[in-house]
Order: sequence, then C-alpha cells, then structure tokens
Amino acid sequence: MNKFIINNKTYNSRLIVGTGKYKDFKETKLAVEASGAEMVTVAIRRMNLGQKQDSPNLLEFIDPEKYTILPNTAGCYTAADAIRTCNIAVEILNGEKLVKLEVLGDEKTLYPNIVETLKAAEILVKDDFKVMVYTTDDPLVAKELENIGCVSVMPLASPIGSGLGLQNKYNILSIVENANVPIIVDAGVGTASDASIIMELGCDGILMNTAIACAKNPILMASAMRKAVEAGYEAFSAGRIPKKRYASASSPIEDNICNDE
Amino acid sequence: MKIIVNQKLLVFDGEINLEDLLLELSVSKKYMAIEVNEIIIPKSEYARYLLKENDIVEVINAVGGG
Repeated sequence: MNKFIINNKTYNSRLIVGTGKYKDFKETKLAVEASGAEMVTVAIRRMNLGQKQDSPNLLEFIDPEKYTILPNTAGCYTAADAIRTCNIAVEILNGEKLVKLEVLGDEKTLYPNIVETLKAAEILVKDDFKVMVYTTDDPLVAKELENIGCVSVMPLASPIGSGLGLQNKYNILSIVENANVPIIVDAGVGTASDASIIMELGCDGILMNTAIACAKNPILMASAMRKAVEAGYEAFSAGRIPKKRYASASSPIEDNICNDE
Repeated sequence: MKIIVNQKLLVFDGEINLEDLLLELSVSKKYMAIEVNEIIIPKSEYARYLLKENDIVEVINAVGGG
C-alpha cells in the first residue's frame, strides 16, 4: 500500500478532520482522538475579547505539537482575502506554511470560486506556501491546481455540510487517475459508507467535519469514520472482484454426495 | 487616545504598545496574531510597537472550523 505523504510528512491516518460545530472544545478533542486523525483543520477568526478573562483557546485542546494544524481560509470570497488569512495563519502558527485554501463562490452552495482559487493558489505557491486546495470535481481544474504547485488537491464529494455523499464518482475517478499529488475528497460525506465508497475509488484521503461534529454521537461517528476510511482504502488496495450478472458458487461443484451423476 | 480593537472602541490615557495592550486584554501571545491597519505585526515587535490614534487593531486566533 502507498504511504500517505503530505508536505514531506508521512501520516498513518488518511482521515483529516475539522474542528467546527462541536458543542465545546472537550467534545472536539474526544472526537479528534476517536477519529485517529493526525491532521486537523482550524479557521482563522477575530479573538473573542469578551468579559471572560482567560477563555480557553482551541489549540490548548488540540495540541500543535501532537497534530498537524491545517488553517483554512473558510469564509473568504476573494483571492486577496484568502491570502491575507494565510499570512495571518503563519503568524499564529509560528511560521508553519501549510494551509487549506478555499475561496468560496456563494453562501447557498459554498461552491469554490475557481477563478479566485487559481489566482490565490499561484500567489501562495510563489510565496512558498504549501497549499492544499479545496476545489470542484472538475478534472481539468484539479490538474491545473496540481500544475500550479499545490501539495494536495481536494475536490468536493458534494456541497459542504450537505451530507449527500459522493455525487460525481466518475469525475473523482478521473481526477485520481490523472493525479501526481494526493487527492483528498473534502466535503459532503454524510455517513461511514460514503467515506468507504470514496476511498474505494483510490482517493488518498478524506477531509470531513460536519458528518462527525453534527452526528447525534460525534465521538462514536468519529470512530466509525476512522474504520470506514481504513476499510475503504484497504479494499481499494486489495483489489475488488469484477462484477458479474450471474452467480458463481463458492463451494466445490465436484464430489457432491447429493448430486452424483 | 482612541483605538479600535476587534471592532470595539477602546480609550487609553496615554501611549500604549502592543505588549501592554495584550496585558490589558488578558490575552496570551501563544498561537495568536495581530494586524494593525491590515498589516501583520510580528510578535517580536509588540513591545516597541506604539499604537497611534484611530489605529484599527485585529487580534486573531484559531477557532473551530472545517
């Protein structure tokens, strides 16, 4: 089986998880642990400077010494805003330049704005950022982002938070077949079987947030996703049998005492 | 002196640098960033960076997100 390498670091887990939408940081921590993920995404926002002194910081619960922290540019609708956010992330994370670039198009679909995404990717790669890029399931765009120098291309399975699962299997397959960088499906997973189906196509990994955080029991769902991603990848590596229309007996046909000719 | 910090107006008697502003706000320097008028100020410069009247300061950190 191939190793899962992002930005020269090898990961045992092919599941990357987000940290949004949890009840509190304690639940976030427990779900991340149950998922087995070694890379977690975070968003970059104004600090809450309310009345409460010493309010807890997410990174006290998700230790950057233990996890690879992947800051995202969620909520950015232009290349300029995404680049500004990435530069702030570097300052927050003491010089780490691995980022998840997402430039959104509209609030209803949260579909990526590809024109702005390409613009931002070019500038960030030139500025030595290691860019993992959220994109549509268009194989040509995926290849273009790879050619620009992104370290991973991350097409959606379906819209962010929709839970619709993989909607365009053949496009994802084309992207995987043509790729020389890890393809990580990002967004749209609803339940464990969605994750397995994606991994069975030969994708290198999956990034998800809502499917775990908004499950009735997020920690149990995190565990389920861990197994589903592992199972899907192992099944892909093992090589599935071809589909046939009719049966093929599993027990020997010969020497059947009930059926002597 | 009036400055805007995370969209709120703060008034100080005299000059204040970024280091003292963070003390005033009880904010730890670990895993955070500051922009003044949309320019990132490196942590090493906080102590000598004096804020000016009407500066717009953003104190930023990592939060939960996908």
